[in-house]
Amino acid sequence: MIASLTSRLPLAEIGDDFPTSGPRLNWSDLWAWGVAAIVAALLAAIVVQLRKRNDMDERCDNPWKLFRELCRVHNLDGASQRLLAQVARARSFSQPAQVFLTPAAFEIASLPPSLRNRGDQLLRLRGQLF
Amino acid sequence: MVPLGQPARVNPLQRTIDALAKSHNEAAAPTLTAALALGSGPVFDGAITGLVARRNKAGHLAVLRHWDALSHTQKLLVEKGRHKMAGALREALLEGDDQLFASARDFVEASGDFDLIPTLVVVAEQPAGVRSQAALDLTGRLIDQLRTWIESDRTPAIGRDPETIRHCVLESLERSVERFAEHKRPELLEAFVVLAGPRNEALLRIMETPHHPCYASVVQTLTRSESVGVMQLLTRTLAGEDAPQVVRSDISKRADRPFVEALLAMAIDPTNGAQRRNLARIKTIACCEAAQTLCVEYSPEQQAAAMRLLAASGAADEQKLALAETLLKQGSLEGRVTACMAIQPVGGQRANKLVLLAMKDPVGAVQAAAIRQLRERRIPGAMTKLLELLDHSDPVVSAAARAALAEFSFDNYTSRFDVLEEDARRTMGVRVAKVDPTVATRLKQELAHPARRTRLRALEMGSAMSVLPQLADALIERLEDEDHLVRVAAAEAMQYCTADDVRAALLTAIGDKSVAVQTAAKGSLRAFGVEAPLAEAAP
Repeated sequence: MIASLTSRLPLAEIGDDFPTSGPRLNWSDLWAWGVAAIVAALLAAIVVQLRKRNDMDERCDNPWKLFRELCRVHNLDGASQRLLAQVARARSFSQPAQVFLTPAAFEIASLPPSLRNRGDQLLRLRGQLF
Repeated sequence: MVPLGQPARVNPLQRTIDALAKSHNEAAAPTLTAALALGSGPVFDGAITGLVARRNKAGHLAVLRHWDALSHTQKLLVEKGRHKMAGALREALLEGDDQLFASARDFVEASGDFDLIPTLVVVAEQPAGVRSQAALDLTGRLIDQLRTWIESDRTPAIGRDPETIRHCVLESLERSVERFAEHKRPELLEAFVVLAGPRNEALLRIMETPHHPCYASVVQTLTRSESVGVMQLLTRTLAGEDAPQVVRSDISKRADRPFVEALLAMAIDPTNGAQRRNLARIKTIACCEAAQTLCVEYSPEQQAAAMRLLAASGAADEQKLALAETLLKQGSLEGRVTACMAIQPVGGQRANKLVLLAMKDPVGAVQAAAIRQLRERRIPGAMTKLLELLDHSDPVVSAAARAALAEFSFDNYTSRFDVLEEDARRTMGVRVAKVDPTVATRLKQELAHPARRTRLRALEMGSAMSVLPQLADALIERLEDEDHLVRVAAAEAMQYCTADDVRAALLTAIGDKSVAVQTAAKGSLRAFGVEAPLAEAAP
């Protein structure tokens, strides 16, 4: 008798009629959790990248990271760092950090017009580095 | 001025250089290398300092490219970082272009970097060319520097142990010796010989194996090299056990000035049995055969050393006597003295003649050296001559004569006195009194001896030696002796004294309670020409 009963009812529906059971769970119910997990992973990756970017003790061969390391050594503010990076690019140095070793890079006359009008800032920066 | 408690403000450029020198970012090296393009100035100096502080072969090679243009101070900056530059230096020496090679070679020589010797050896083994020759020359100079460093006092010891460096360098040279058949560079073999030392097994194996591929070259090196290291090896090998035949042969044959000077500077240690045996196996010494040259061209110390060396060798007595004769006739004072001493073990007529020749030398020290041999050579008239020389005006000569007559001592005389005949007592006593300067003192001690027999015997000995006048004080004291026999003997002995107080003491002794003493005193006074009445004997 039990065998005939189970053959008529699918096993999956066992318990459907219990009074405390909720609706059945579908894949579509998990999307919110997935998004949250992805956001968390992205955040973690960003944090890791940021920490890596600012970890000057890690062995690497990264010219711009060296540039940032030297900016940190000289306690340069964001504006000065940006200006110094612009000078390095304008001088087409193979290594951007060369700007820290090249006083001639701050000569206003040979700089592009966009930087010439920031002569005072450049002179102050040069005094700070040499 | 920096306020106390605050760190000194570092120059911003210096801060940049320090950061680039220590950075873990490999981009620092090309950044610093790019700054070398400035050619001079503080940034250039900073870039050099930063590059040599980093372990970066490309950066070090870039510095080496500028080596010629660097000032002395800048070169010193580079030398400070030499322990980090080994890789670049190795590459520059092995694979660099001519400029890099020359710079690396100069750098290695200036900094005395012995760790690079194995690399230089590899370059030197290359087929003949400018580079291999330069590497050979530099290897030789560095080996000499290293040897000098090892030989130096090195107190206090600072830095690496030179013996450790020597061990490493020697390993590379041993490998090069194994490849000798391929490169055929005798200079490398010489470098090996210089550094190996007398106990090196590989070198000893070569020297004892005539069919070894390196044997002929090693022999040639030992025979011709004027390197201090090679000459030291020869003389030091002689001081060790079983010096190889090739070394003994070289020492026997070499007569070039540098070697002769090194050989004559060698200390001959009589307690070193190995050295004595090695020298005894050398039958001729070329430099000692040229005796005239020795007398004319070499210093007094070297003349003496040559004589000592030949005397210690296994050369025939005739050779030793020939050198001694030349030195005694034409040599320096030191040479003459040593020559005279060196012939002591050699017997025979010729040696005796040389001793007599030395006796006529105008300098006392040479005569003294001859005097010490006179008696054992049994030269006729030696005893008389020695006794005469006791009174020589030169204290060195008289002391030597005294030493040669050492058996005429007070102790010997005392021990035999009782068994000697009267004549022998007198003959020997007079000699002992002349030879032994302690006679008077010793007799006075004996006269004060508690044993009556000893005191009486001392009086007899003083009489036999004819030294009674020197004992006057002690004899006067003996007139007060408790024993009347001693007083009698003292009173009798005093007739040979001449001092005024002796006469007074004898006059006093006339009042002695013993008639025998009174008689003896009166007899002695009679010898002085004084007649005294005999006093009444005490009850």
